[in-house]
Amino acid sequence: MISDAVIKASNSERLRFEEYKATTELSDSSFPVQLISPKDLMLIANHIQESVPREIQKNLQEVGALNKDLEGILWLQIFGEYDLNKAENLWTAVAVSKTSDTETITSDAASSNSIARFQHEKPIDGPVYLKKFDLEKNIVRFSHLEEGWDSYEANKIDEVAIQRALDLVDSLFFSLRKRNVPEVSLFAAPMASGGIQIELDSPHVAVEIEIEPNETGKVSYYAQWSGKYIDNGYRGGPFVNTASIANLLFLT
Amino acid sequence: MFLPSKSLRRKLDALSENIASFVLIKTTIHDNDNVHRRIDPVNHLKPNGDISSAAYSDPSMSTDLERLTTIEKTMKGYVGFGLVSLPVAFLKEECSQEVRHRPLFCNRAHSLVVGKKKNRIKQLIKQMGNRNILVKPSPK
Repeated sequence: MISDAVIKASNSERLRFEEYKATTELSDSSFPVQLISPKDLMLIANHIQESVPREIQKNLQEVGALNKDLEGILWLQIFGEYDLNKAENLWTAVAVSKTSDTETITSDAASSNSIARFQHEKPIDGPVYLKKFDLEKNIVRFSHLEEGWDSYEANKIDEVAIQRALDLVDSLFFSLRKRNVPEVSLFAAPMASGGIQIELDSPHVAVEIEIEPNETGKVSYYAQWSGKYIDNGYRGGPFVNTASIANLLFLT
Repeated sequence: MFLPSKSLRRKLDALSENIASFVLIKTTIHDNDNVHRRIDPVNHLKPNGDISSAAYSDPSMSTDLERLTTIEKTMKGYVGFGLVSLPVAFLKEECSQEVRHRPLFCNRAHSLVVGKKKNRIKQLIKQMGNRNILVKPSPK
C-alpha cells in the first residue's frame, strides 16, 4: 500500500507541521495543492528515493512521485510524528497522481491517527506566496528541459544550479518581505550554459541574478535604474546577499 | 525507421559542422550584415511580453546570417518562437563580440556570435533585440 511508505524527512527550520484530525472529508476541491511548494515536493521525492524500500518505491513510482515527475502529482500528504528537536523524523507519505483513485487515498488517510500538514513556518500572504510558488514551480520545471531546449545547442539545466536557485528564492523572499518591497515582479529563466537567471522588476529598477551551472555555482547580479547600472560580476562566489538585492529595488 | 539517439545526433551535427566548414564556402561577414536569432517563447518570454536577457547568454550564440536565409526558413518547424535581428556592427563594436560564419549542411546561413556575454552585454543585446523584433514570440 502506498500509505506504508515511510520516509525520513530531514529536520528543517523553515517548516512546521500542523497536525489535525483525519476526519476531514477530502474532496477534489479541498485538496491542499498549494500547501506544498515544488521545492518541498522535490525534497520529499529525493528522500523517498533514498529511504523507501524498493517494493514501496514501485508503488510510489506508479503515482508519479519518483523521477521528479512533479507535474504528475496532484496532491501529497505526509503524516506521522514530528519533533523539532530530532535530527530526523519518520513520516508516512501518500502521493496522489492525476490518474489515481482519490477515494482510496481518502480512506488511507482516514485510517491514520493523525495527518501532518506541510506548511511554512512563517505563513506568508496569499498573493506573495503564490508568486513564490509559481517561481519555484518554474525553476523545478527546468530539470525536465532536454539539451537543445532553446532550439539551438543549449545545455541541460544543472541540478546544482536548480538547487541554488531554489535556495536563493527562499532567501530572496525573506529579504523582500523584511524590507517590505511593495511591487516587484519575478521571473526565472534557464540559460544556454545550463545556469539559471532570476529577474526582479520593480517600477524603477530591474535586477538580474545569474547562477552559474557548476559545482562552484557562482552567483552574480546586475541592477539597472534611471540609465545607471551596477554589475557586481562574480565577486561574491556562490554567495549573494539577498538583503542588498532587496535594497537595490529602492534605488531612484 | 532508424532514429539516432540524442548523443549520436549531436556527434553527427558536430561532424557535419566540421565537414561543412571544409566543403561549404564560408562567406565573409560584413559590418552592415544582420544576424537573426530565434527566441524561445516558453522559457524566455516574460509574462509582460518582454524578452529575457537570458536568451542572449550563450558565449557561442547560434544565429542565421540574414542575407543567406529568409525568415520563413529560419522559423520553419518552430511554431510560437520569436525572431529578432541583430546588426553585426553593433555586436562587434558595442558588445565586443565576434561574428563567424559556421555553415551547416542543413543550414548554410548558420553563424555564431562568439564572446563572453557578461550582464551588461546581455542587456545591450536584449535592448537591440527588442528594437528589432521580426516575429513576436507567442506562448503555446
